[in-house]
Amino acid sequence: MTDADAAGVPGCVLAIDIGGSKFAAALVSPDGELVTVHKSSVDAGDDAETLFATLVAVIDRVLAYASRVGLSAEIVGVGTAGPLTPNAALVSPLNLPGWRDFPLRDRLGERLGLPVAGALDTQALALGEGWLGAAAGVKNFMAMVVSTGVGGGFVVDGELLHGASGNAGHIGHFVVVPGGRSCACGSRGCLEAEASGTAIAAMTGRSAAQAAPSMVERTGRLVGRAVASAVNLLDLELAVVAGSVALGFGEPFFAAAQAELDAHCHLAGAVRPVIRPAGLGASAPLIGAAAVGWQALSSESPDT
Amino acid sequence: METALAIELEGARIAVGAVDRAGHVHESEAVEPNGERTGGTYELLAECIERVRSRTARHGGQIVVCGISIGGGDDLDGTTADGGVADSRAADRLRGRLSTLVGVPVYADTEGRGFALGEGWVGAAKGCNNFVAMLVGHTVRGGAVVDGRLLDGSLGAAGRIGHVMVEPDGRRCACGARGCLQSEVSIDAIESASGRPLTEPTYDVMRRVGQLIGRAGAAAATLLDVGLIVCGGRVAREYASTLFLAAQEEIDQLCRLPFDKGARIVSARTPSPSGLISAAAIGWRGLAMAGG
Repeated sequence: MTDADAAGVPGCVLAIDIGGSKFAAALVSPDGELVTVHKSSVDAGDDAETLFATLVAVIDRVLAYASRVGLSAEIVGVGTAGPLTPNAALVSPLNLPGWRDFPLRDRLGERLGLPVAGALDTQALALGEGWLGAAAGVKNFMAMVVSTGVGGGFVVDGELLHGASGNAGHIGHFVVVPGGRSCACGSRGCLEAEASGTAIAAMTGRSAAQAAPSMVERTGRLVGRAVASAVNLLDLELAVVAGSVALGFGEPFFAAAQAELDAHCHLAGAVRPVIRPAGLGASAPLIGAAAVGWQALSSESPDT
Repeated sequence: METALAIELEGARIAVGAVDRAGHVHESEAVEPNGERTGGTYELLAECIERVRSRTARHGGQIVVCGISIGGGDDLDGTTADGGVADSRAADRLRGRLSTLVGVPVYADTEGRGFALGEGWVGAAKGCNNFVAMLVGHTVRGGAVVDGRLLDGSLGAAGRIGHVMVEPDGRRCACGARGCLQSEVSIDAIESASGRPLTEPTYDVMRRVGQLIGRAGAAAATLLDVGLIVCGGRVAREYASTLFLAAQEEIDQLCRLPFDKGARIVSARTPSPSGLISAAAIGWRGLAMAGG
């Protein structure tokens, strides 16, 4: 137990974001303030130990600052690109071939001497948005990212859904166009194969930033279609959307998605389900990772 | 022995039973009120309950909770705008009256969600913490169990797999949308699309129904990271292995991620009378959530 704990001052979370092209770490206060943030780009070709050393270097800079200002972390919260096994015990981020079933949770625990809680980056996003973002105070919602890829996370009855192997939320592989474009997963017509930045570039020969209005509208409609099925299945009231493609498209994208949602969701007595931009911007991944840590603390030790 | 009073309301039929904590049905009886709605139906139900209660007491059973599984129309899960609200209120009124009558806590839920609870308790998903169950009949209803709990959602209606979209621009659904699973594979949808009675399908009709059920099952498996889909109801029973084979083929086509690969769809296995077991499961769950 640290001095801060003994004095009744809550500790912080060491938040870690494992992305496909960069690692970030921050010390996050109990009210969600990013006390200090450090980042490092990673080389996708690096081997497992080089990647881990890069991560440790980022963490060490955060911890060095923390100790200078007299703060400490009581848990580590990780949001990581997937897939993973429950609680990020083993991670295999698609864009980092050096990590395949890498024992991230144990390695961080050994190195830091702290409990480690982990989740998919999109699940972390959902927790973060529910804590301090566009879904604050909402008990049944989803958060998703529409960027180079598409993913999501669900909160139902106030709790993040994990699923059998920790991978609940993969809305990028909901089929929106049966028999449609081939997806990297091996299936066809997945939302990610039809509406991600990668898919838009492949279809139009231009980046998503240069997409024509008709493509913006189509992308919004397909995202709305997938969200509508999730909303119906899970009885949700809100979807918040982050990611460069969605936020770059802006209002016309959200209008098309909302129109599709309105056409598909008619649950009697329900508030009209709404789709809107996520609220945390660039700090979302780290706030989300911190939320993963807080949630683990509150669920594992309800007495404290 | 602690026992749940189980009540199954399914259209024209009412069943009442006594079910213990292990899922064994000790008493059961069913009545079919002839056409009379409200008043007459309630009296019949009350008489039925009295008989089951007195037999249960005689055999040493103690009723500690009452669970109601509500089936029949397409109302309680709210797929029709006005009817949904009205019928939820009717269910609430019934719950209030019964709670006075039987003197124990009364919990009600849809047959689809009760079906999921029953399958997880004594059926095909026994011991499984992550699965989706669906009943395919005149409607398509279901429940989703994730991380060991039946999901409720904002109105307590989570698990509505019947309104997952399986065919963009498909048939118009009672809910107003197009291409919902229910609007493609309910008994009425099958009969009107094929022009044949449910019981006289072509092979292609059975395959197509299976494929679309598989498509919705695959969506649930991918979205929720559940490896098991349980399918029951009249359509599943009629089309049996032809349906399940086509459904599994569709799932195998669509579920190819490391975590959803290998998702299975299986037939319901809750023993008869499954509706009473579902109703009891609703009661026991309610009691557990209330801290009993």
